[in-house]
Amino acid sequence: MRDDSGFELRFTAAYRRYLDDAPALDAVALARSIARAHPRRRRDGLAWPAWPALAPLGRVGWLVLLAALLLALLAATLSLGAFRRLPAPDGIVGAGLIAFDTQGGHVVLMGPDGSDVREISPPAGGDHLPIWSPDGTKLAFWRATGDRFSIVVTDPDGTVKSAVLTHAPVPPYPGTEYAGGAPGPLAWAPDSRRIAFWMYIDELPRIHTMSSDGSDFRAIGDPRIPAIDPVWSPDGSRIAFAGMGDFFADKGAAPDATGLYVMDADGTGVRRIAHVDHALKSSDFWAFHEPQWQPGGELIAFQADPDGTSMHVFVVRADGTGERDVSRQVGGNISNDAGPTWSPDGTRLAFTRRRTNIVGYQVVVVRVDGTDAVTPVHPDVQSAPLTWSPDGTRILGYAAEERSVIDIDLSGTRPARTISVAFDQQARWQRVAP
Amino acid sequence: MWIGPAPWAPSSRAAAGDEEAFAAIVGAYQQDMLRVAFGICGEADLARDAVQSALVVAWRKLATVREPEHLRSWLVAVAANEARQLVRGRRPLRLDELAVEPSADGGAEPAGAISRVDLANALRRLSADERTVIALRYGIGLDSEEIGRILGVSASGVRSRLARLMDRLRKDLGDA
Repeated sequence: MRDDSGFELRFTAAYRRYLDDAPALDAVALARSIARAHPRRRRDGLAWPAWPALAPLGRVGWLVLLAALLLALLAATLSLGAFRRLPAPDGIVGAGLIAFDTQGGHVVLMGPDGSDVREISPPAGGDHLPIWSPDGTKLAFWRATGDRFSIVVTDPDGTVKSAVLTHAPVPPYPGTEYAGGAPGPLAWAPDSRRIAFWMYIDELPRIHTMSSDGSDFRAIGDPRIPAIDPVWSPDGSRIAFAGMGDFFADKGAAPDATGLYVMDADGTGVRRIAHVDHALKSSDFWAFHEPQWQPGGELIAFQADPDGTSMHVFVVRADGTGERDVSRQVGGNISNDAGPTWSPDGTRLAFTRRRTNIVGYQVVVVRVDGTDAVTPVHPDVQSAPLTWSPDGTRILGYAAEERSVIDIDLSGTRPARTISVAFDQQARWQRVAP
Repeated sequence: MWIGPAPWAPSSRAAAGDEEAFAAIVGAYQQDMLRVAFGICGEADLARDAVQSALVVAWRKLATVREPEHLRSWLVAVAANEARQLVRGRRPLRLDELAVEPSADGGAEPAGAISRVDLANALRRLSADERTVIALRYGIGLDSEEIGRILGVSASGVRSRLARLMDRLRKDLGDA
């Protein structure tokens, strides 16, 4: 019989010895210097206006009036977001509602200016990784119920259109960063009719596709290649994905399956396209993760470690030719470049670059040919992922401040702003007619 | 149980902009922040970066802490969040990197104990979120409710996740 408590005691002792190697840091001196560098204005508590000044409506009257105004504003925003549609899957369009998930597992919608924040998830939470359909008419996200995951599809106002029970099991080896072990981001097909995603079958991740109403559910691709992070080509005929061979070698995966792949949308014709030698030979969990297909084009952006020392951003054509190290083209001190994201017109890439010797990341925006790099856009962004606005003028990212979104205006006409929300992992922008 | 100086009064003074009060609070909980950050990152440099970054956030946001009795949890949560952000999107540690790091006490381990290298490699196979749960529970001894408050999940969810993690670590460390 197993001695559970005995193992836990031995683990605790070993773990505490392990943590004894935590670094030394004079945090007190650092705290003093931070406080001095950022003096906070001392202020007395702010008082509400005296209620008698609001007479004759009284407290209740004013509260009702305020609530009515907020509801009207919310309705106006939702109307704009919900009823102006754009069928085309690529190109510059208007920016509608922003959907994101919180650390409590709630999907939240807010207006493009960060106003009218509201949750659409049930109180129990469990919802993660929301993504808008390309035509802006539907929102899909993962929902954890017990130890199973489902895919929920809603209208833009959060009304559940279909709760598609994929019954994806909780991954047995959740090597992902996603809260609750949820599978990775969902990917809508360009026609907004199908969804691709990955989930485990017999402890190996496989790409699946289904119609947005839950029908025609199927696993596709080569079962020997552990596959994650599918992304559709702009014409919907192919799917690119990351192969995770080494990481699942003890689960029956083909040992040389690590890499970046493209296959036909029905799962046939699987072919490897990237050739970053070091990354192909290594077991880097993050190599090739979340490839991004160029809107309206044939380039696929991905991240990989070319030499064992740093993560770089690359692009390669879908036929495997023309591989380029974009990070090296941009130059500078490359420590960790990650999370490449295409502009909606496919002309530029944005990614985060970890700064050396300074805490934090910066955003790099570069033209697809590697020229005209702009950096930094904002010094206080955290690591990937980034999200372009559909009109191409703004980028959302993790703010350096805890649980916040940073909204960066690329035109430079207004300073970046921090939106304080309980942000977790993914923010996605609804596309609407301009 | 609170460890170190009671932070009640300093928290309100620090929130009002008192530098020394802020330093006193940090002094009380810096070890917890560093240990949790190291438990998540697995690298000393990253853990140091995470705590430095967390201190900036803490100074800016201290006024938002409404319940001073949760100050320790709050500071640890900020450090944990910064650590998770740092390792998010970053390549994981490799086994050889972990294996060559000397331990602080020269490598002496009690007979029958889990070896440091085995433990480090087992931790490397966990996700950052899983290492966060481990660090909060076994690194600084928070209970399931406190961990749940930090991670935004229920206490029962924390317990079930801890049970799964222990089961997996037991197998991984050859104790099945």
